[in-house]
Parts: sequence; C-alpha cells; structure tokens
Amino acid sequence: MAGDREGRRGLAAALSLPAVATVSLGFLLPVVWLARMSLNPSDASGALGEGWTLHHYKELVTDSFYADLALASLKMSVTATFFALMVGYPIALFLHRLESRWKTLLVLLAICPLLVSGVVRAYGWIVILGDAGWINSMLKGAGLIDRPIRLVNNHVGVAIGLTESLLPYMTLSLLAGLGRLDRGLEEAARTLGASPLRTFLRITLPLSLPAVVLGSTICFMLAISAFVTPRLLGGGRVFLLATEIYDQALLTLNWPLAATIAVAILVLFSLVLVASGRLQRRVAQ
Amino acid sequence: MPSGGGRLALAGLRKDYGVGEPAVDRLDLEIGQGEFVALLGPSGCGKTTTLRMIAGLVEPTAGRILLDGDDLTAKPVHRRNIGMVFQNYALFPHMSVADNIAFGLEMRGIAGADIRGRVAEALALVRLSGFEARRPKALSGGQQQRVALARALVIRPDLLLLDEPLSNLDAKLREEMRGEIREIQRRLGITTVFVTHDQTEALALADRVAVMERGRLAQLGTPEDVYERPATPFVARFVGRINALAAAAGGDGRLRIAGAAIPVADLLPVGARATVMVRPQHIALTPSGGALSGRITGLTYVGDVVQIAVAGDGFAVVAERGTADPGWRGLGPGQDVGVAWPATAALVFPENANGR
Repeated sequence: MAGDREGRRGLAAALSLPAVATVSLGFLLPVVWLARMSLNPSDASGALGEGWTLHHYKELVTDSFYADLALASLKMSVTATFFALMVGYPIALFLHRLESRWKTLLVLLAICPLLVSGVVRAYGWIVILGDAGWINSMLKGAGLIDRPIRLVNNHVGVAIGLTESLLPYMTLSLLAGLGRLDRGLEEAARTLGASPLRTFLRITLPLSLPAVVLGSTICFMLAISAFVTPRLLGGGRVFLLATEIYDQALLTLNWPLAATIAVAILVLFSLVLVASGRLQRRVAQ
Repeated sequence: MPSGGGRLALAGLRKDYGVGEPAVDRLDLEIGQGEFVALLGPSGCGKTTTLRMIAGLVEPTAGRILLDGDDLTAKPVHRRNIGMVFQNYALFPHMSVADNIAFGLEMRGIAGADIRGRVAEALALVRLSGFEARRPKALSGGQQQRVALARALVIRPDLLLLDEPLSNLDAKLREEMRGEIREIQRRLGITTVFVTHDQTEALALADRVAVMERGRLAQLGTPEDVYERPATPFVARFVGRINALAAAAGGDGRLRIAGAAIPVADLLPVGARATVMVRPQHIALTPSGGALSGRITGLTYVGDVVQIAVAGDGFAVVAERGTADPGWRGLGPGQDVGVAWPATAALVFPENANGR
C-alpha cells in the first residue's frame, strides 16, 4: 500500500513537471535575471558592467526624482482605477441584474474594447481629445472657449485613456464577483422599509465589496504597469515608472537602472497583492 | 407582539407583461382582518405575481390594492408596512441573525434599546432565542425560515405575505413549520396571504383558499368548499386527486358513461355532454355487478392508502382504500370488478358551448 502511494506521488510529480518547467523557465528565471541585472554596475554611458553593486538601489532611494515618479505613478493608477470603478460599477450592476436574451451580447459589448489594440485606442483618444479634436472643436463651435483646452499630452489625457483601457477589466471582474448579490435580498430590504438609497448602502454595496476589491486590485496592477497609453497620450511629458523603465532601457541604455526600477515595481506589486488579499478576507467575512 | 391586522382588498387587479396572456387578470379579492388566505394554483397561474403586486415589488397594469381602505397602489414598497417571507428566505448573508431581524426596526428609526427588546421578543416567538450572533449560513433550513418569519413580523406589519415559504424544507419539517406558522398567525391575529402550489398546505393552513387558473380567480372558498364543491373541473383536478369520466345526459335523471346508465343528483337536458368527477375514496369496488364493470390493472401501495386502478370498456378510474381496512388484500391485477359510487359523491360539470 505504502509503495503504491509513493508511486502515485511520483506520478503526480512527473505529471506536474511540464507546468513547473514552463513557469520556471518562462517566468521565474527572467525575474531572477532581472534581479541580478539590477545589481550589475553601469558606467557613465550606461553600459552594462561586470560585478556587483547596490549603486542603483541607492540612487533609487536617494534621488527624489524616483520618489516623485513613484508618487506620480501611484496617483495616476489610483485615479484611473477609481474612475474605472465609478463607470464600471453601474455597468456591471446593470448587466448582473439583466434578465434578457441580449445579456450575453451586452456583456460582449462591454468587453469588446479589448479586441482593439491599445495603440489604436490611444490614437483614437488623440483624435477626440486633441487641440483640434472633436471636444475642442465642439466647445469652440459653441463659443464656450477661445483657446483649446489641453486634454492630451498631459496627465489628464493619460488618466482618460487609462480609465477607458481599464474599464473592460473592471466590468468583467465586478461582474464575476457580484455572484453573492441576489435581487431577492434587495427586495427583502425594501419590504422591510429601506428606501432605494438605503437598500444600496446597506445591502447592495456591502455585498459587492469583494468584487470591488478584486476589480480594483486587477486594474491598479494593470494601470501601474501600463506603458502604451501613458507614452502616447502623455506625449513625452508625463513621467511614470513604466515610461522611465522604457527610457532607461531603450534610450539611455542603462539596463541595470531599468532593472532596478522594474524590481521596485515588483515589490510594490507584492505589497498591493498582500494588502488586497487581507482586505478581500475582511470584506468577505 | 401586538399587531394590527389589516383588511385587504384587491379590485380589478391586472398585470400584463406585454407578451401572451396577462399574468393576472380581473382579480377581485377581499380578505378580512386576521384572516389567513392561501393563493393556490400551478406555476404560472399568477399567484406569485399577485403577491408581489400586494408587496409593491411588481407594478399592476390596472386595478387597485386597498389596505384598511387606503389605496396602496401608488405607494412605494418601503412605505407599505407589509411583512414578507421569501421562498429562499432572502436573509442578509453579511449580517447576524439579530441584525437581520433588527433591519426593519432600524429603517423605522427605532431606538437601539427598544430594538434589542423587540428582536429578543421576535426570536422567542419563533423559538430561536440564543441564536442572535449566528450568521444565516450557520443555520439549518428550518431555522433560516424562522428567522425570515421573525424578521417579517418584528416590524408589526399590517399584512403578512408568505411566498411558498415551505417549499425548500423536507417533508417532515414542512409539516412542523406549517403548524407553527398557523399557530403564530392565530396568536398575532395578523392578516396573511400565503402563496403555494401545494394543495395540502393550502387546505391545512388557510381559512379560505383562492384557487387561481391562468391569471384568474377560479374559486374562492373554505378548504371544504374547494375540495368538496369545486366550481370548475380545473379546481376539482387541482385540489386533491379525482377521476374524470365523459358522460352524456339521458334525460331520465341518469347519465350514460361508457354504455352504462348512472344516477346523478343534478338534472341535465337530454343529450347534453358532461364530465363526471368522483374522488377515489368514493369509488366502491364490488366483486360483480355495479354500474360499470372493469378489470383491475394495477395496485399502488403508498402506506396509508392503496390506489387501485381499474379500466373497462371506454373508461379508467382509480379507487382508494385505507390500508387499515383489510378488504383490499384480496384484490389483484386481472380481477374483474364492478365500479360504483354514491350519486351524491359525483360532481357533474356540463360542457358549455365553448367546450370547457
């Protein structure tokens, strides 16, 4: 019997080997390399040197430029996540309650922006938000403004573009998390004397909090690592951690510094995940 | 827990969803103070829609709902002061038992100390004292049912609505809860409307039963009325088991069924077609003779009674015998028997012009 069990355990290990190998080679190894590279020295031109140094981590901690970058990234991600939540929550609630044969189609419609490349969507926003774009043309035509309002190549443009790109993910994760929310519970609250607003605050909102935490976590992660949207809608004037990694890696060619920033984001990721897990447990009771 | 029992009146109530027949149509119903009325019918007969219209969860297309003379029709749900128990109980999963019951009191702005007292009182009423801190999911089905009942009653509603509250319980518990609901309802004297598709439940609980068919009220009466004097073949079929036989009037006070002449109490014009209905317990089986002769096709033993299926030339009936009476033991499939019933036990439904 014991031998049989051992044999089975061996078989299980053998069967999981391909998955373990894929994850190790595809994800773990590159991260280890990245971490190693962040400890390589770089010379004045940025070229990769041999040996070990904590120089780039010191730079990251002492140079206030990076602290500002991290703060800007954090602010941008929180802003975009917040607005995606504000727009996505009513959509998800509506779709969750829908009892129609069009439901599947409408859910598909809510996530179909994912079918369009982020680059194309960013250019789409430039057409709408640019100085000669739709919004400015309309406002000018209506005589409300003399000079165009800056809506792209700044933080506002990036925030709008990021919010839109996060929206399908937010809607989907909210929809997945709203399972516990039963229409009957809201009806019960109403018969017990709760107005629609109080029903929302006491029943709907608390029961949807796990979904809110889940959706916000996913969107925050996507936002802080987003590169295309900040790059295109920021027009080179918006500096975030993700754009800085790109600049360091491909323009300055300082790979060790780029790797150091990447590791810093990874640490931030883990912290957010742990916090989110804690929060998730608390709101789910 | 004193409670104001309200008088409920439904006048010309109608709900049209815009597709097919209206879910509820031309429904008039008056329910007296403290009365317990069951809305009984098959699924899709409009009974739940009616209950939800009374609660305010569904807006009527036409008609009025009056409670103690006040028109409720335009009043939003949360101002109606109606207690409702839902089929799946709808207990708030993120609140304790005590918080669930306190919810309605909180919404009414009642002070904390009073709330605690009334929650304790309501829990005592449903025999769940000591369960205050539990979460609904840590309770059994019967206990959840009781919390739902306590939550609906603690607000001292003018009207109590029960939407198939026993259908999720197993048979034994259902019978127990049935007695308990009836007892609490009597003690509080609260006007109650109970929706069910289970005729036994309706007969056992209600002062009056409203049988519904395709959105209309088919019959309103005491349990004895609807069982013994059903107004339509539909009611006869739905409330209890019954045999239906096609017949034609002979003009001599007798009906011809499958070639035999059977005496009945009602007089019909010669040649009129009718359906004769007889409850299984009224059918007598004789060794031979009887008005109709047939052959036993099968016996079904269900414990307290045994059902004996008999088929003959152009008819088939089921008779029922209590198993306490050993008379059925000699019977078996293939035996020839005579079938008869007392004339007073036969329900005769003449076929009207449109064939119903």
